[in-house]
Amino acid sequence: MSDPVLQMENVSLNYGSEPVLTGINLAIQPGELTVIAGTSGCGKSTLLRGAIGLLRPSKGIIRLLGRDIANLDEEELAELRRRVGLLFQGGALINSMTIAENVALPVRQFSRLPDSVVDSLVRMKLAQVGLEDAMQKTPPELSGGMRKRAALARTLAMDPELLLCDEPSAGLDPVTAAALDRLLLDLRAAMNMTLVVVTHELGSIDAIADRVIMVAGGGLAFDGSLEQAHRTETQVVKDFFARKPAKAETRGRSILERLLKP
Amino acid sequence: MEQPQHATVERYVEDGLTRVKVRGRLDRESAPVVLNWIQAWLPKGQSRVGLDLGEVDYVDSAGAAILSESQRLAGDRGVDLELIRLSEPVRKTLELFRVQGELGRIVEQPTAMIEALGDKAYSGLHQVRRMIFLLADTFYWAVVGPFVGGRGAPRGEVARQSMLLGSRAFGIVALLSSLIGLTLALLSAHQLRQFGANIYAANLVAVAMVREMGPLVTAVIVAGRSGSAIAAEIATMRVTEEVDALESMGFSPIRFLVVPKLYAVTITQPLLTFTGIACGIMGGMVIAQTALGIPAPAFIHQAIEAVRLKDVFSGLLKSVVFGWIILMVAAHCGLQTRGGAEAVGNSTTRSVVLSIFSVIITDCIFSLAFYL
Repeated sequence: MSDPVLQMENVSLNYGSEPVLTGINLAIQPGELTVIAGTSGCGKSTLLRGAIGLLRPSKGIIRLLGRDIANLDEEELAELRRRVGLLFQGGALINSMTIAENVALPVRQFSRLPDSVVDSLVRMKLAQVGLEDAMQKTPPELSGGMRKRAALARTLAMDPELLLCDEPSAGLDPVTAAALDRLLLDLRAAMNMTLVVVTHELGSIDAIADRVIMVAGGGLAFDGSLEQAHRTETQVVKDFFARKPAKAETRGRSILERLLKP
Repeated sequence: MEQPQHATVERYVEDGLTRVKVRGRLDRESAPVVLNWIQAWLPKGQSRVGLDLGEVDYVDSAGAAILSESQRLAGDRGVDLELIRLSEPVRKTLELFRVQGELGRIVEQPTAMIEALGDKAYSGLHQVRRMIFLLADTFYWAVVGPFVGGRGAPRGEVARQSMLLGSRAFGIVALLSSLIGLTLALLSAHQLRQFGANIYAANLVAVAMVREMGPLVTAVIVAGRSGSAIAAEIATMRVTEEVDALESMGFSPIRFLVVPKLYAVTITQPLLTFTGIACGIMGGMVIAQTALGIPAPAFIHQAIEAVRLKDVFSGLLKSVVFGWIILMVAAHCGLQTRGGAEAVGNSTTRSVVLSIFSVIITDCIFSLAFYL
């Protein structure tokens, strides 16, 4: 087996001074499509931010494309990040630029392609996500779903080796979401891209995942193939796939109980 | 005491036990009144009271809250408040509402003064450290950027920023500076007239504008107008994760966002200040000619005599430093922003206050250094 694209060893990540995730161990193999699942606020996005060094771990080692990111200076880290795409939850397009300029931004910056070639490349990427018509619009003029697709086009413009997506299909209609899932699968098949997708859409998980990592309770509750995830006895995973909420006692005592037994 | 709307409360004694019976709807309207009644009826020296909710057909959150509050009050007085009857809808509702911790007032844990003071000092130091890093990064990229690979910002960004930070501020700087010059001339002439030294109003206006007022007034206007815009722009980009996105694509946000503004401000600030100085002196001249009886050529001659090259040099040098301070403070406040739309507003305000403060402090230091 070749070296993992992303590896975390006993990693702890804090948000401010509050620990969000502790003792994370994982290794993402090349060409794999891993889904990181979990309920809202469990630290999935934090995990992605940690993976590319936007958030420094308070403990542990993170290896991205084989390099320990703690040992890299800003320049080397920037170099490494260019080989990795991160699709933000809200898109994070530059609002003062048109969609086309947004997509062209990293390409113009980091390659020596002539402008006409860059423009064709931009058209190509926007066509891939079905946004060729919106090229000259600025992000605030687009709907949330369109913005997300435009952001995906921007991320894809650099043909990353590793693509990290933070809830790509959240807030999209089922048809567009399915098309997006399809696109992610195609990208992997055609370009052997490694994908890590954060999502809590069960349909999406079943459609795309090779492997499922479940984040819960400040750590990884499960790590295994999609089939294993469906058959596992791990309670949080079972509850998640069965759409069962967390146990009631964690939400406190009812007023009735309090009145009966003060 | 009044009776509650859509509910009735009554008290009776059965088997030597006080009972409170509520009928009807226990909702936001009736709950406070019911609570008052229960409170009034909680006996002293009796250990048990029965609460009969058998004929309550609806209870809302407020109702549930007064029930638990009544129980807490009863407990405080050593009374056992027991639920003796319960209708089905009330049971369901009371089961649904849950609380994890203790009921009652939410008390904010006060921070000890020393702790708060230490916290402030620590965060202040942290801010200064961040600012120094930002300063170092910005100047590094400003000097080294043009010689290493890749472009910092899109083409034409420096020109665009110069437009925004410089040309657009031209009018307001010119107007306010001439008004300041005008006021200065009036003020000084009024005092100098006592000595028959009217003509020295020109000296005063010219020297004051070149050394102090020109750079300072321009800096204050730029801080309010452009500094706030820069802070708001960067803060918004921070909040919408655009800064993170830039970083994730391998851009240096400082090189991309701050450095073009640094170039722009270095070009525009002395030009604006020069405009301000010229307009200020002009304003003084207009007043001298019309109100003080000093002819314009004499005023100009006197002004040129009074101003030394050192004054001009120090004024313009100051203006550049002020521009940098405004930019650094604005960029710092913008980049430190965390949270939502409200945080953007806060950062903008903070940036304006902090940059004007820093500009005035720096101005004092300059005056001491140049003229002491």
